[in-house]
Amino acid sequence: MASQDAALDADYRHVTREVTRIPLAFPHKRTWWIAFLAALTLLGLYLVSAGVTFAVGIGAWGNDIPVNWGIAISNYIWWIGIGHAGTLISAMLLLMRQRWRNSLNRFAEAMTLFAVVCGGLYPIIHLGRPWFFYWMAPYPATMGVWPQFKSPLTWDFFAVLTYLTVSAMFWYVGIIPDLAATRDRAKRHSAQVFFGVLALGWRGAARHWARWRQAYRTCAAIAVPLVISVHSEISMIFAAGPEPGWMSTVFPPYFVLGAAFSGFAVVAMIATVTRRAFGLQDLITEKHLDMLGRLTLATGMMTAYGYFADVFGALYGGGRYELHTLHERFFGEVAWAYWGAVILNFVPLQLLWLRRWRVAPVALFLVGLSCTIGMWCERYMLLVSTLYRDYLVSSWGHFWPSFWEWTLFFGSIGLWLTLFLLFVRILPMISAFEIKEATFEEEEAAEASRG
Amino acid sequence: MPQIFRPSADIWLRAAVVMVFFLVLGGGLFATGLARSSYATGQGWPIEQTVPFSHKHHAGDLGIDCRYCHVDVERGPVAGIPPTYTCMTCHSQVWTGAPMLAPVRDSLASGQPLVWTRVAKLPGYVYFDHQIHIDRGVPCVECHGRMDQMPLAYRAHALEMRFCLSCHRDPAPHLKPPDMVTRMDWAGWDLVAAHRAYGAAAMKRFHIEPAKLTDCGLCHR
Amino acid sequence: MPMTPPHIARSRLSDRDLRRAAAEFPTAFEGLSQTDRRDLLKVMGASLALAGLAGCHQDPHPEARPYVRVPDGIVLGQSRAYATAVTFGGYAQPVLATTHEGRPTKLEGLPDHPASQGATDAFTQAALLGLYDPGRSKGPARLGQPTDWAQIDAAMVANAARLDAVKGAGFRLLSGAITSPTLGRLIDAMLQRWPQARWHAFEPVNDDLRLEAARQAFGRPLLVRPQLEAAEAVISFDDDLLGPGPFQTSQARGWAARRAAYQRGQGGSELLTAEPAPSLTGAVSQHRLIASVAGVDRLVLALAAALGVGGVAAPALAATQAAWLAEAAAALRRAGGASYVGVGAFHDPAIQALALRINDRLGAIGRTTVLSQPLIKATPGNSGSLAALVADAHAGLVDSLAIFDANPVYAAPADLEVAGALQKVRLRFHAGLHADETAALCHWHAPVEHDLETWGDALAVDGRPSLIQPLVRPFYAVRARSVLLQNLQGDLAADPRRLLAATWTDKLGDLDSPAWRAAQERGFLDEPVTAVTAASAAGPAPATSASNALTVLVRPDPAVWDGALANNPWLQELPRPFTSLTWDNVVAVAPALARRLGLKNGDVVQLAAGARMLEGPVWIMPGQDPSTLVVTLGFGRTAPGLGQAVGFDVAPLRTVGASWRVDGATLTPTGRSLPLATTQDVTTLGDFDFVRTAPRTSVAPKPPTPPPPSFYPPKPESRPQWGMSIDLDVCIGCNACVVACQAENNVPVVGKTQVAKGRHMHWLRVDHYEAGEPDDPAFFNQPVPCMHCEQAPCEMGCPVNAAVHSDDGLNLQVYNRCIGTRTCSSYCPYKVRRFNWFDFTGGDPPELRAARNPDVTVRSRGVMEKCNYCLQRIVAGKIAAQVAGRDIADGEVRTACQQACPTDAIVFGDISDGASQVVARKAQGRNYALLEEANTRPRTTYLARLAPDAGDGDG
Repeated sequence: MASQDAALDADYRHVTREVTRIPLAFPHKRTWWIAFLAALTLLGLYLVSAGVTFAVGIGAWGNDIPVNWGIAISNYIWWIGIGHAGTLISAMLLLMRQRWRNSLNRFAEAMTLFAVVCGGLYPIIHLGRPWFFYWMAPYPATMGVWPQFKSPLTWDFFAVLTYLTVSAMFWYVGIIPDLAATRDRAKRHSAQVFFGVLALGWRGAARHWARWRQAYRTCAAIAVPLVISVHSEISMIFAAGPEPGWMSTVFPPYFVLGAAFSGFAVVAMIATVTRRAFGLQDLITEKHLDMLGRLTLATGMMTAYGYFADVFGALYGGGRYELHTLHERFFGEVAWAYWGAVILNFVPLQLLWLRRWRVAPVALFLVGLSCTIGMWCERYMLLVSTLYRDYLVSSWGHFWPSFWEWTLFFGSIGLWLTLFLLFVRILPMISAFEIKEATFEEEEAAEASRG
Repeated sequence: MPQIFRPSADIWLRAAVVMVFFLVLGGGLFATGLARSSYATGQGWPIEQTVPFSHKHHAGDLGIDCRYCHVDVERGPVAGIPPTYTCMTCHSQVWTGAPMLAPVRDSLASGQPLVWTRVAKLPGYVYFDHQIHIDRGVPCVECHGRMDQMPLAYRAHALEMRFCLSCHRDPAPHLKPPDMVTRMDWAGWDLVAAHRAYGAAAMKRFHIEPAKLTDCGLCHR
Repeated sequence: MPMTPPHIARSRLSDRDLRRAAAEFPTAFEGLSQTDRRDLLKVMGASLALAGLAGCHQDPHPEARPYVRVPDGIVLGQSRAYATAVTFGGYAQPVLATTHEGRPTKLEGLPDHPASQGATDAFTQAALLGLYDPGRSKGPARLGQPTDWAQIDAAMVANAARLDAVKGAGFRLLSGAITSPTLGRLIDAMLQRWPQARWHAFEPVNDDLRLEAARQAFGRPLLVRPQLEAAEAVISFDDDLLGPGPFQTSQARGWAARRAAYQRGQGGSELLTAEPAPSLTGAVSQHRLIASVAGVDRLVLALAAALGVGGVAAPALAATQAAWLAEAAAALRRAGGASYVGVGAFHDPAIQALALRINDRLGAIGRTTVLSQPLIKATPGNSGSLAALVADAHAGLVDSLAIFDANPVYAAPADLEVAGALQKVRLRFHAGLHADETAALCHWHAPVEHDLETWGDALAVDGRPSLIQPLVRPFYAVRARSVLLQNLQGDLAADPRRLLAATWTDKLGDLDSPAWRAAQERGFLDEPVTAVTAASAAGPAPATSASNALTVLVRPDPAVWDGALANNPWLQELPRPFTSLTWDNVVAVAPALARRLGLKNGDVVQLAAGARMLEGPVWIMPGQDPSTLVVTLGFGRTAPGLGQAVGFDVAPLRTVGASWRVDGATLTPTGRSLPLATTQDVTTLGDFDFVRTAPRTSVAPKPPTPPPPSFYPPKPESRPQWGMSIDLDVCIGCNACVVACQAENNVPVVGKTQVAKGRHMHWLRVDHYEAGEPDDPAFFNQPVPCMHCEQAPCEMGCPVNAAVHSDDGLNLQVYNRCIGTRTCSSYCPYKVRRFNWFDFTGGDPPELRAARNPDVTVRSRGVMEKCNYCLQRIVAGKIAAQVAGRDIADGEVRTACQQACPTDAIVFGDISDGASQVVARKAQGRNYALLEEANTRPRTTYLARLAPDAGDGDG
């Protein structure tokens, strides 16, 4: 019995050590620095591109009439979409008491947070007069006028802001106990102070735990509906316009599922990479990879249904312009994006029907990558294929993203990488205590069965 | 293991959190306050002019009607800054040698315009038409304030959009008989019962519909 | 990494208009007298006030410079209108010029002038910008170097003294086309004073062949003026009656008047065209036959034979041609004397003469075909051609030469080698608006006054003399043409107003007589040229050449004309009919030819005729004759200015003998390709119904149909409710509305690069469609302003209430509230919204700012803009009506496009007023809304084009 307890204790200690050693005594610093510098370079590119756009105007981009939205908006949707998995995994699965989530939720949430930051900046950069962006917010203006609340963009403003706040709160509340753990293991005084302040004086008292559990579950309860509402709302940017290929009621679910899909894909990528990089094989186990694979597959197939519904709707409705836009998607100037989306999203995905591929990190990573790119193609295709040839033949046009649009895009990836690398460097990226909890309960269950 | 923080640290942390909260709040309040301050709007700040023209003296003490100098106010969109010639109609007779008026005399002699500094200048994208306001009986004082008490002219109101809207959303209280628009002092006007009803009557008489008065295109085009 | 990326820097630079303008800026107002400078400051002050949205932080207390003494009748902030005229091709285009604080800001047609009846063409609308053109020469020059008037005066006086001694021997005057009685009088006086001197005239696009034709038909050169309002059947043999040119406005008015009567059921209106390349006339004709120039000639002969015109044998015709001819002959027989048969002005005079005989035979002379003395002043004995001048110069007979408003070095056919001839002349003066190619080869250049700042006169196309009065004191050190003519004779005291008055003293008395004042206010004298009657003599049947090689047709450009207008940014960026091309000219080829040579739009080809050749990009023109190529004048200017190096010059291909039609040409692809900037990529209509055709019966009113259901809340109905109706049956796609809109609403010019990127800014565009077989399609024009949807998607999309609906049914864009999300444009099914991708206005020099309409905000970078039914006019009308205590009368508020339209295709008014014209129009059965299925309920609706009556076709 005692030996068992001792073994259990050892096990807990091992978990905590595993998790907290990363921020305290970071393994292979060199690789991290190289990655970080690369990320910083991209971030610099981001700043320059944004600066150029601010300096000369949106004309710096490839936009025109009719395609007056470019990859700025499609990237916005793509990023926000990616930023859905984290909250979904943590909150939804927390409420559903899915234990296995515990190894994934922390960095999934972080990933979410940073993706939302990347996405949220786009709508501001793309404004003709960005210095007036705050006019979208309801505030007591000397002009005596308010925002136009029928507009999807006004609701974007709220949706993204709310989502950012809530996911940040959820993430921080969740991380507090581990911050305390890190604080207690920290050797250097500076580290102790740093983690100490962030830990808000957490002492692991029973009262703390009770309060914490309440707070954490409340955040989760708020976050879950947001996951659904935010991307439904964002889909309205398209669905609310009377444009062929946009004005469809399938868009909200279509977008939410697509968002979760791309999100899970990215989480899968990160999970496999961190697992490898920090040797967390016994924390991110095959079981986790398996679950991730299943989720990706499930949401992926639902997204595929969205595609089907879209095509079916056009054909069944038989609207002349709808059919024309469908034709453009299949064979037009952006057909590459359409078929790119279909192939990259759904062909490799089929591997995940088999467990041996789901639990194979490399395969999972590659599928995730392909889905992420595929979803980017989808967002791009949805936007351009509709706008560049909508109704009047006379106003048909073209769209080619300009140099600065591409640099801004890659730059935003740099922004995300920078934030994420900092996160893995200085914060415990896996929820140690929750794993311990899980392990403990499993042991209990084992004992119960034994005795 | 040694304590990292002193017991007071907790208090400090809480204080810091509260501080941050109030800083953000205060910052917002300051910004909105600044935008409304007379510093930003120029409200009530007298403006130096090349010729220190006193509306108080001319309009107030001498009782010259606004329209004597601002001739176009009744027939055009702008009241107009009077031409040098108008000044000299009197000042060729009175104060002919006054050093203060030297720039005016020079202007007439040389044909070079006097350079004034605009006081009630609206942004370029706002189109205000004096004629229709005068015609409907909106007194000068409503926007320009007691010019007859200003030694040096200044903005009596901030002339922000909400100021325009305050009247356009509810014109009745601001309407006065069109033949009295240049009257400055309306104290006691409302004491007469008949006067109180005037606004509503004028609205009916002129078919003024506030719904139409807030069309953006009325002032912005 | 540079903050301004190279490719952006390039694209900005290549916006020639902006760059050149900015380059001129520093020297903009040189040589101003004190008093001028006062006006200038006023203008500058105004322009600063006009800065509008530019810059987000504006000085709340800017400077103000009031008048020292207000000119009579000026009401600050209110515009005034003066009747005057601008000249085009020598003819007066009577206008009502709007001025704000002394700045001309808009030209409208002179309403009570019978020739235009208040309408204008694109050239007249754009003439305003000619006044403010930063590229105008701002002072006299000697050998290209700025000098002062004293120098050039001395030179002229000295030359005059010498010429007095020798009776003007060796002196030549070269001028453009002149109708001005005053200039004519002064020239006659000069020729009397200097009998040995000679006067030559050179107008690149002229009536010479028409006059020659009349001479062959009637024995003397006569001007033939078709009266289309009386013509129930019009047969056009490559005669672009409705096309660009000095006569466009008056002829379009006439045709539209007839068409309107036809719509009301009064008489017929048939129009058949046979032409090698699409023209505005062909596009609206009921039966358009594609025929080569030679083919057209044969058709004329055949028609003459069919109608029994003496001495003409019918040539053999292809089946399609025979069918067309039968239809034409039938139409003419039906209409009898109310017919008009026209042959293109550039065709063989003998053929044109034959058409005149046909008209005579039909009894149309005096009815639809009015003859009169030419309005352009002829040189003595018609001996003063440019060729004669060149010949004399080579022969050394020319000692001194004065050139007025002519640019032969650029515009003359290459084989004349004018430049070489000029070198032979000892002393050369040049007077013109620009220091052009010819000025560069002259010793002295004297800048002249623009029509809007000068005293003068000219004849309108109906012969009524227009009086030209200055609206503003000249910005620059320039002189009136009449004055310069006197200066040349040593008279330095000449005063333009007196010179003008002297011409009219016998009619109007002296300058301060009431008659004079009345005429001045009216802007013209009601004295049309007297019609003469003449019987056509039977002439020899003209021979027709049948060449199988390619034939190149040289035509004036529909926007920059003969190149004299090449410095006008509005015209350079004006989308040309059919092609929607801007900032370029092309070699138009038939689809069949393009297929054979494997050419696509923009491919550069070498066009050669014998040793003469040029290179230019091709454009595939549906409905063009496969053996015909079309090139346009006015491009490839070499003189500094906006038009420099834009497009290619066609002069190298032209000769005196073959200046409009070059036979035996060859076309060879070079393999290179040029980017061309068009505002409409696709013109094939396919199976869409954006433009519709309806039977004539559809003119009758139809019962109103209830609108389809909608989720939008019903809007409160109040009066007035604004709406517009555009009649596609009379729209000829002349672009007058486009330029009028641009002038009225301060619409910026963006330059070729931006146009190519799909960023042109026109609020009103004319869509061009081809329906059916590309080799022989039907053509449609469709002006598309904002539709002002009652259920506007744009308003729903805007997050900041910048796109809003007004109580009187306008769909407004509030520029100062716009933050540039561009959602409105994404949601707009008609894509009529325009976005300021860059700061298109901030770089404008003061001159161009002074040309702006102060009643319209100048939009800055990053805001959306669009047509607002000329809101400023609506508000002005509303205030005027309210002050007068009445309702706005129907037709009191007219949009700029409506006012300019020569065919009354556009009607604007209150749709809640049952008696209004627009309601009557919208009640017609052929009324339809563009993209009805989108259920946006547009306030702008269209009237379908009328299909030719059944039975018209069969003879």
